[in-house]
Amino acid sequence: MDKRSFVLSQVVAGSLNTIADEMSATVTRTARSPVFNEAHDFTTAIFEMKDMKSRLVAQSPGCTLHLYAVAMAVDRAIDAFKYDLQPGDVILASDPYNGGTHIPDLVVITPVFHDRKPILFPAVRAHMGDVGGPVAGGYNPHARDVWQDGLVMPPVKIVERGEKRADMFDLIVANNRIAHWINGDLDSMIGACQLASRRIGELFDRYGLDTVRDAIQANVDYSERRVRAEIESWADGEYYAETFVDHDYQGQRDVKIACKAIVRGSDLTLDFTGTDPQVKGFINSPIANTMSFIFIGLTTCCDEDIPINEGCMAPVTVIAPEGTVINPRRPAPVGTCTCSAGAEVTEAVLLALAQCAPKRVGVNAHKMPLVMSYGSYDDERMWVFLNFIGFTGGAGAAYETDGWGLYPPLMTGVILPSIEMTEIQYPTRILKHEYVADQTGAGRWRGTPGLETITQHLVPNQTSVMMEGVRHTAKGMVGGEHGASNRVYLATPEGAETEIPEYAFMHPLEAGGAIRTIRGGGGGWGEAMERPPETVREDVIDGYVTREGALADYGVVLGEDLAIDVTATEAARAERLARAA
Amino acid sequence: MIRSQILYSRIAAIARELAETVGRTARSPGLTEGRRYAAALLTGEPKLVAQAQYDASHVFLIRDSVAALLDRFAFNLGEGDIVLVGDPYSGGSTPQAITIAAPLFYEGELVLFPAVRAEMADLAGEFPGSLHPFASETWQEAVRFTPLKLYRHGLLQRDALRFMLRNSRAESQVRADIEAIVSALRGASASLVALMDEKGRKATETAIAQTIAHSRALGAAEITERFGAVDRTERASLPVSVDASVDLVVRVTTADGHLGLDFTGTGANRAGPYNMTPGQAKGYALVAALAESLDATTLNDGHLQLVSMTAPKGSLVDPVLPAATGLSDAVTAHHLVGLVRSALHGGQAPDETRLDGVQPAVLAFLPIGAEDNPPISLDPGFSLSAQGWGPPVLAGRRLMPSAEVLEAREHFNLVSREIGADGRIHAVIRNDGPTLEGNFFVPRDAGGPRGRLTLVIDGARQVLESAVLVVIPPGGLIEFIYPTYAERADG
Repeated sequence: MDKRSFVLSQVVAGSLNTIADEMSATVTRTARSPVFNEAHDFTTAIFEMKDMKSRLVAQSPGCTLHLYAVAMAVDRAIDAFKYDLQPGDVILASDPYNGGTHIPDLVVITPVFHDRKPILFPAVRAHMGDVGGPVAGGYNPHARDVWQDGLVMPPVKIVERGEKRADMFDLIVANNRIAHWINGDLDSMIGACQLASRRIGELFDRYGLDTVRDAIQANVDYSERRVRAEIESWADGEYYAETFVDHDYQGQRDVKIACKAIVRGSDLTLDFTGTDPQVKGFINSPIANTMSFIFIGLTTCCDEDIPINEGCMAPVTVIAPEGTVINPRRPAPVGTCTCSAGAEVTEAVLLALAQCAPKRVGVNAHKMPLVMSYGSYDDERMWVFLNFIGFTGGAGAAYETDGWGLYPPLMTGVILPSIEMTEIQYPTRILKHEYVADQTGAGRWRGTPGLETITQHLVPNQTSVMMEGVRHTAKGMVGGEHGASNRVYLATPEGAETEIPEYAFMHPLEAGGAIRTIRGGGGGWGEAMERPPETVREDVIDGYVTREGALADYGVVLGEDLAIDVTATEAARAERLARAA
Repeated sequence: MIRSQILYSRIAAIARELAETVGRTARSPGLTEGRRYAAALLTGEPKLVAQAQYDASHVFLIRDSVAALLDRFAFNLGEGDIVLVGDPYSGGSTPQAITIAAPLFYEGELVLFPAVRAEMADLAGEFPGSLHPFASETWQEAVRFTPLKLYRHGLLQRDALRFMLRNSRAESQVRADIEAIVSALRGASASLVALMDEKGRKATETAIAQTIAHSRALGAAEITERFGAVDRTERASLPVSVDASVDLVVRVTTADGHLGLDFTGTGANRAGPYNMTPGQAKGYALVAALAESLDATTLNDGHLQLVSMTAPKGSLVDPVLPAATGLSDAVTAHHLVGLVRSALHGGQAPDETRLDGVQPAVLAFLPIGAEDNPPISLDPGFSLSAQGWGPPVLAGRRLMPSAEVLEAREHFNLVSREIGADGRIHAVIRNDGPTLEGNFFVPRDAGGPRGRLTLVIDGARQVLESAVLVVIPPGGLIEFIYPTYAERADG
């Protein structure tokens, strides 16, 4: 490719990413539910149809765990309407066994035509506040089939040739407890896709179809080359790792996810043979969800300047045996797949790759204690509160990087909802949200400290808690320590607390009752004894580590004035290393 | 007039043929044996022209459901369209029941068309089938099917059908039943076109109008003659759980043969599935008033015009979304019919003419998690009412499953079925198939449970109240004792 063509391809690819960004901004500014407009639990992306298959060509940083799953949803939509796709159509889908993940994540897709052929498919995947079914909010730990998770939505047209299909739209809204949210949220998603459709049309007009397609291909090829180069830098071999989901909420514990990474030159095979069979409870991860979490695991091991597109997955072959917890058969329930089994898929991939690419892995730790409350406003309209503020804290460390920020990379684009907006949008007060000392995996680089959050609802409500990461906490990498256990307490208005060991289902909380979430921190990377004492001291000053923790976890002795006692530190570390040896 | 009657008889015959076709071509036992459906012809207003039905639950509801459909598609209905609705809050009643209508355009106008209302084997919800004794929201009982086009200009909307089927644990039964209904509707449409071609649209419309007016006059005369001027309030306390009940209060008036219902004072049931919709309440009240003659005539709009009601919004008989309605036919309707009968008879309806009679029910299914899991209605007997000779009128005209069918198809062995020394029907069935789960429902009234369900596993007996997901292992016995509501005439 000559220099001009290369520059042009970058311009076109950049335009597509900008369109995805504009879609994202549109959703943020126009959606009605706080899950969208505050927490940003959605993803926008653009797919290309090639050989009747879709491939990811552009995206905007969103809730990363959605991203690659959308490709399968687009595939199924193409399949469902392959003889009946028209300009102006908009397709809606959320079927775990038709390219979906868990049911609350709805996908809206629109085909963009050129010369009477569908070429590109802008899409939005977003988490709805409710999806009908037996339990408000779509998290039902008692679910034993997918219909107990919520309303199944195979691909349907909600806009046909540019005209809203009112009966189908109304049907979706009628099966939602929060009609005042979903109405606006669907319009927002449709609007974002239609905007993208116009922008892509302008792109076609300006550069022509061939140029756009060539640019896409060049960009995909570039990403593939970069990822292949990365894989090629890893030693050939087979690397096995396994992780465990704490439980399936229905009595089965320690559900294994096994991953063998086979590196051969620039090809990577991820073989999940040996993973436990699908379980009764709603932790099962449908294949689209599994692929998405694999995608995250792989891309976090690559340079961050590599364009995120289908090329990233081109070198990868996935073996996911059907009937296992990472590729269940219909109608197994899947409600919490995006929090439990999915996260373990990423962790298993990273633990396997840690054996051949130690400096590339880390950053996982998506083991969230899922807390969801629902109640009614004064006018009896329902609200559903997903405790995004309590989900924070838990990113793992990576080589040369302490765990950072609030959310782990699996939720890159999700942002901390404004506490003020939360208190306006819900009858809720956030009483506490701060880091907890000594609540993270120690290491040469430490994980993000754990966080303590206290959320108080001012009206009676039902609160469900689904614990993760209690027994199987966020893993440390390359000798780093594991993160701490998550803990959640429900408190009466008088302050009497009850710790939730595994889950609480629709627990009635009185007005003024509170939810205290202590999020275990992320896993560390590398040996804790190698962390420079001065860095440990800074952590003590910042309140992430106590003086006692500095000694216990890092062998660093600090005086009352927080000065490092070099001699004592050397002695403490030597003793620990000797003990470890 | 005679010509009109002959013509109307042909119209009524088309309605009956429509109903028979559905019964003979549907797949699910709920339709073929349970007869949980009705068929009707309607005008574009819509007015009910003729309705063939097998139980009382549908009386007002085909018309109300079709009204919801026509309202939704008022400016968007064309030749070849087939539309459906299945929503307690869009002219319906219990979840899982859908109404499918095939609007027929004759000379460019919506004149006369067929519709069928039928209970589907499963349309998702928390448990397979329609028996959820603890539902507090309609979404827990089933997917709400608000008005939806299934066919547009004769073309199947595949995504709409796919949507329905993906939200069913009994996909093949639901698909087959819908196909049977659509086919029957098309047959009825062809018959109607042929009739209008032969007799003329005007004559057909005249016959319909005259018959409706005539039915109204006859019905009014009967009410006046049988009950005179009534103005009486009756009340009952409807148990909705072991320790809670809701007041059902109805003031019944008759003036000029018109039946007025005022439910002021009726309570609310926000936490349970006992709510009934206004159309449902009016239908049951009409049955209560005209039960003795309804079978001898063809139900039409003239009858429906005899009833009006007022009720507090949010009450048991005019609930607001998302109140659940699943047990309204099985329980609330019986209480309502009892009250209306009582009011019409001056406070004491004779036992031998009793129409109501709640009874226990069991719905079994493969353990939740099976992909194809059509529920099995285990109903080997019936409560005794009306002089003890048979089931109450409100039980409808379901066919009793034979022992052979129960054994061959459902893998349940009918161990015994007899009238016991206590005058009640006792039935025992044994699970000869795989492990099942079941939802059990035992209705209550002021005197306690009505009927009894006992599960016997390895000789251990467990008397069950209403419960969900009760495990029925292979070899497990279920003993049914059905209540009796009247002395047998022969003692």
